[in-house]
Amino acid sequence: MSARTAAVVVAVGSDRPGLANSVAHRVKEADCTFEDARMETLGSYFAMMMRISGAPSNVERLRKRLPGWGREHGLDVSTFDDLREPGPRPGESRFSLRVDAIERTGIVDRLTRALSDCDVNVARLDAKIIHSAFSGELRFILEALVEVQESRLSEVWDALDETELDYVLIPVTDVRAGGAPAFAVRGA
Amino acid sequence: MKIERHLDMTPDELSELILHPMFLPRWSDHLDKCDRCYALFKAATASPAPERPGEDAYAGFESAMLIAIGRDRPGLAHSLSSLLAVCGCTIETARMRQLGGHFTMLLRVLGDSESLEAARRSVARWGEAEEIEVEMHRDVRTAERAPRRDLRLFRLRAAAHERAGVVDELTAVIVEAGGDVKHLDGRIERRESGHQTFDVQIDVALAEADLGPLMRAVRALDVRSMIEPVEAAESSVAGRITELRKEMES
Repeated sequence: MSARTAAVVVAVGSDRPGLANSVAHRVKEADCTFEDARMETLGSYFAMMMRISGAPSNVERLRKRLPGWGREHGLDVSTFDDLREPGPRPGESRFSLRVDAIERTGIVDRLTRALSDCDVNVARLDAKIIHSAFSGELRFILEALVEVQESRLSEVWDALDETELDYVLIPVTDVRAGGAPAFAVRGA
Repeated sequence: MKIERHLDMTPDELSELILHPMFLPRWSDHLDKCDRCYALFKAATASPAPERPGEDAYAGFESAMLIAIGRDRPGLAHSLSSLLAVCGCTIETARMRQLGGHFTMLLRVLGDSESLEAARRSVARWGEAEEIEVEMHRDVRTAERAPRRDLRLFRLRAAAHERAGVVDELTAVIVEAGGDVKHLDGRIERRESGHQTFDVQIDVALAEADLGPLMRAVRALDVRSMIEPVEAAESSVAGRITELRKEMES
């Protein structure tokens, strides 16, 4: 199998229909593939963060061409070297964390502080304020993939309990095969 | 480990919990058995609901988009969100990923003009200190960019054998159908069988009349796919959490 390399690309600009396809088309033209991609329209802006891979010469060519192409299309494009994918550290397991709470300022701060205090690494996080369909009140919904030191699991549960947010924390894969299921729920 | 501690809760905490739409189905069984919870439920439903942020809670606020990227290390998400909270800003949308060893974060932040300006300055200093590239753009929604009321948001989920051009093919048929990609999230997943698929979820703003042509065009591609209105997809998230709880209980 021929050698492949990867790069991280970030693009930001004013949103307009067709931008996502324009970027995807440039990647395909360069014979590169998306490893991981997120495109988002936030307010009047379009933002895209992606990890692309391909033959080293193709990736290099794409990295050279994208910023100039972006300028022509009103996008600010930056590219970055691919660093080692960290993945879980020794003794760590991945957990899925879900939070559903009544919106109030500082929830992300409170939650990430609780995780940071227990040396939990946040690998992925998606959060959004939504209008509840029933009551019209604002709710805060969060889904995250976190890496937790198994020896500090109960400490993490206690820290999450102290945030007074309703949460579900479940292992992405069984950390104790054959043992007790490792999960915690607050607010049930 | 604390799975259930409702007996330790204050009446206010418990009332809030009982009325939580996510847990109401489970509580309804419990209410038949527990006099204390039943009394609280009756009191909470009889009196006006406690004050909570309503739809217009952030109506007068401005917004800004923030994008940050740098070498990943633990604690970055917390330091950034803490900084914004100190400046009096609220995070309306947060997307964080580890991409190729980099920490990447995309935020939509709400606040009054002063708070957003304070956040812009603080975040720039934070970026320099942490060696994170960070940009913050104030939102400038203009009349011509106002959302079209005839469009509805649909969620397309698709999985394809990993190959070059999957995102291009999908977004091209969306453009041809008159759709506008509002959100896309996809990655290569390595299956137990050894092969790789590219799994993607795309939110598309589309006129309902254009849904049929889009579905036909997607079906013609070599992908497995499903399209549903976003509100239906999001309400099923709460359903999945409830199912998960039931699985845990059993």
